[in-house]
Amino acid sequence: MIPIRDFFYDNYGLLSSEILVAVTVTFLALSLYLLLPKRGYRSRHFQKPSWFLGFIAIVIFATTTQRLNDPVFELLFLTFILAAIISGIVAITRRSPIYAALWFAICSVSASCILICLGSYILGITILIINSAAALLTFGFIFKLNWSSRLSSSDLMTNEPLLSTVAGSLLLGLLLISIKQLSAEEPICCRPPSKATALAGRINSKPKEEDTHPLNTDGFDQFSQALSSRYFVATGLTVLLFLLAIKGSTVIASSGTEVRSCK
Amino acid sequence: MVIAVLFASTLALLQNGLLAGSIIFCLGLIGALSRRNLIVIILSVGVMIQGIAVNLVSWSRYHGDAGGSILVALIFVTAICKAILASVLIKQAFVRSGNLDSANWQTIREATINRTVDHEIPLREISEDTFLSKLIRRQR
Repeated sequence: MIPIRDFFYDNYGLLSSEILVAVTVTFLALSLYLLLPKRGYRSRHFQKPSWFLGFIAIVIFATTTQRLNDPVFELLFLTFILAAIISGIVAITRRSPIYAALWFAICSVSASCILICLGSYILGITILIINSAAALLTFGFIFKLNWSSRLSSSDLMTNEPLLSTVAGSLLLGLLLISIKQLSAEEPICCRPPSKATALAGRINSKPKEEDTHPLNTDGFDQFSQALSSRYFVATGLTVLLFLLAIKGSTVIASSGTEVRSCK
Repeated sequence: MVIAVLFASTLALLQNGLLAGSIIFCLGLIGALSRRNLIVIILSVGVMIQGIAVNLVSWSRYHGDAGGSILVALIFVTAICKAILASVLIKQAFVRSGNLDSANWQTIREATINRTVDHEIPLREISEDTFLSKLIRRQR
């Protein structure tokens, strides 16, 4: 896929990255608009064209990604990205909430694998476990509330699918164009000194034996030290928020019980 | 794979991570804006949080600082709080109204604002005793 991009860039200079971004976003928006449930039905005639448009958008997106040094790692990374995007699309367009929860779980697993590919092993595995538990709870919740063979009215319709898709696509286009500006090579004299420079020097040098250990690569020591010192207040506030959420949910649930008993 | 991560270009990793995170975030945004089922809205917000996590970890990786990863961890704890409260509120809404349509939450508007239904609900899907059917009859 990536040599296609180089071929077009070398032979047809007209295909700038902005045009590719615009085409990707347009096709993705069209695909999403056609896939979203509208007016209580979803025509089967639109499913194949919408998935075809989405496939084209994903292929163009894959060609615009930056090339990494290791092809196996690049293939793995790209696979997880595409799995997350496709499962995200299906999760928001499926009419049944039970299938939406299933695809959300796949999206969460793919996103956790992306985090692992980015080097955050501990965080990725932790989020993977948390999301697995969350997906199980969501399944139980949906089954308890409204699992039935018939879809409800809220599953069959959407609020302003055209406007929602346009708003999201505009934001996506602006974000992608801004990110593409990052790829423009800055002159070395103009680059601010940052930790990335030190990291790049570390990358160019041969890694030591202890650097290849997953815990050291993840910065586990750095993570735990920063959590207990520099981010101690934020951590404490988050724990307090968690306790307040549990207490609040208990109060709301008990008040609902009182309402039912009064009736 | 560890060595592959170490040797991968940090700028390329950053850009790919940001691209993926942005697309995932916008997908979740479209779902949260357009869907009407409360459970699917919460799932869409979850998809948005996944995109934010990928973005922050990409920046954390680029700068070689654990700040982004810590922020992601704190965001996920906050997301768990959100999920706990949302589950209880959704359950209450279901007990009171009989369905999971977000249009039912229009009753929490101020009294001076007129109630509106975003779209007409197909009548074949509504039983007679639901809150929404009474609301539609009142509108007509």
